[in-house]
Amino acid sequence: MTRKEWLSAVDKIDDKYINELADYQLKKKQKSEKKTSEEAEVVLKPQYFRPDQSVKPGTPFKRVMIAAAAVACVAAVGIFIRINNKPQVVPPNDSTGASSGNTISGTSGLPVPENLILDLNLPENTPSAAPVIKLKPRFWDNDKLRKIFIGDKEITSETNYESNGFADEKRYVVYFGDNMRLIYEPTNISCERNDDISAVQSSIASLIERRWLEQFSDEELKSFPKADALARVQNIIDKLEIVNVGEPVIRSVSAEKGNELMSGRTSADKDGNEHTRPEMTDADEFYFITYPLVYNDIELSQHLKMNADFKKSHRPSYIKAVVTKNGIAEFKCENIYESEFEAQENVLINCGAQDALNALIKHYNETFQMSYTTLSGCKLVYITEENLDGQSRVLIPIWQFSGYEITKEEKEQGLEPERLHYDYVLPQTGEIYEELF
Amino acid sequence: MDDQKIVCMFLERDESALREVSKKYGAYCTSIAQNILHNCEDAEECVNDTYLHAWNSIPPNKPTALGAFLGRITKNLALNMLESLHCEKRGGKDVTLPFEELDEFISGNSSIEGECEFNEIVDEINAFLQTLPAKKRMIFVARYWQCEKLSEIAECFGMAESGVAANLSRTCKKLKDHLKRRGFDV
Repeated sequence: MTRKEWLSAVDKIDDKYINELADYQLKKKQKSEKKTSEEAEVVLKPQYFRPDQSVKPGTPFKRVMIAAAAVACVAAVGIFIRINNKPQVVPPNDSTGASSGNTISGTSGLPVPENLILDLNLPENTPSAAPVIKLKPRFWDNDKLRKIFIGDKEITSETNYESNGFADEKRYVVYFGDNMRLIYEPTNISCERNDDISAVQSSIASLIERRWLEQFSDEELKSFPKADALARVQNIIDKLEIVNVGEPVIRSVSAEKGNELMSGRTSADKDGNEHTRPEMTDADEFYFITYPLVYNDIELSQHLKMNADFKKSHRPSYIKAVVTKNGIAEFKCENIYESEFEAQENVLINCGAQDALNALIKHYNETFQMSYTTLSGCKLVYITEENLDGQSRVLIPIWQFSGYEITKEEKEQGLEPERLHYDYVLPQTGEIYEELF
Repeated sequence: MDDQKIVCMFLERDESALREVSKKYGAYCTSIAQNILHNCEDAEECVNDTYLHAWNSIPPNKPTALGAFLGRITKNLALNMLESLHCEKRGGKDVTLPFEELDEFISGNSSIEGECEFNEIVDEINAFLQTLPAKKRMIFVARYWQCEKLSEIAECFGMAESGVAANLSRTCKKLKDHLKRRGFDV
């Protein structure tokens, strides 16, 4: 046995042994702190992070996330490109302007790193300019919201906390009806059934989003039509008076497909014992529907983007629903803003999709690559430029490249990637957005 | 705050969960990252990323052993970071953490064939650990899972460094015998 094999095996030991030591060290630390406090001694120890920085979602991705996400892309024009770990040459950039960003001619000879797979179409129509926009948060009417989601069902328990992001506002957690839970605060709503099969449906929806969107279709389910599911969700959206929604993406999950996806995935109970998740039956099949929010025909990014400067972090905006034949099992909307917005200065889209792609390739050719990355999407989106006091935010148009990544080790083990990957390129200059900070 | 309550806060998307995790497990995670990376800044970055990973993975995960859950994330991130730093410096060679004392117990020749055999060895190590007294088990885990220095383990358990070394040596020898008896070429 080699040292590496030994350590790899030890690395996989049961969680209970790891937790045993963690608990011991924790108790020892608490005891030591108590003693220190009692003796009024000041002991200075090196601080590796400051809690007030580390706890915020706005903490930096820094090198691991950036490098792990590091990607290079290749230009593609209206055609589907797939490159499988072979040294490739990037098609040239014709630089003919924003609206022709996906047209390639000639050969510029940009090399593509070997740990890159491109699996994307570039958008054909790009505006020549788009305004920076300022959005105001959406506050919900308490009574109206409860009427929509709870109706006349019995409330079994209710608590409230301080809102996550809004001073003087509350976040309500309400349990009602048959195991249903409603959580809401300004801009966010989550209403879901709280049982085992719903947890399975929720996990599948999450997996579809993270990796398997392409492997699921929007075909009709046997038990109920897609149109019914869409109508149910649209009904809620209408009642909430959210008008700036884009085209929904819908995926149907049959019991067979759902069980296939969840095969081998386990969950743990409160004692740490692993259990196989319950299997879906035909009654549990569902449609998973996602709506983007759209301003000026440009979607708000649905990707959580952290930044060292918390004010520049972007929180995803979307509406999502899991709909079964019995109704909406899960409805979530996050970071919903008023439909009216303030347009500020115009941003010229000097850099089309392909120019942006070429800029990205150049950037990643010059930086260290840690993961294998597949890019599968490219679109112009709005992301947060600044979160203002009072929770309004200013958003800028930007090229978003999306895909997923896998480490070398995971790839060698034949694992499927489950981590999403995003890159951003400023459309007016072709600069890589991450590099600005 | 107990772990179940913290996990519940994650599930309810309450950002205070991150504060609580930092308060309770910050030092623990930092210690793991620091043991592997030996660099304060990298360790800080690694721990921050641990919180982010936890935030993104709960839900759908509902960890019942939160310390182990966070510890695993930290360790994986730290090893990935170490590998990337190593690759930058050494041109892509594998990283093996320096536990020289192990050379006394293992042949150094690759002997595991396939995932099945690997999983069997893991099962046997788990079974072996179950037979150990808690203190010996924790010392073993501290050294080979948490990658702590002998001096740190000695301080943690109120022992002399030489005592820890002797303790580990005996445990490793027993584990080697245990694996050999079950037909593994160690």
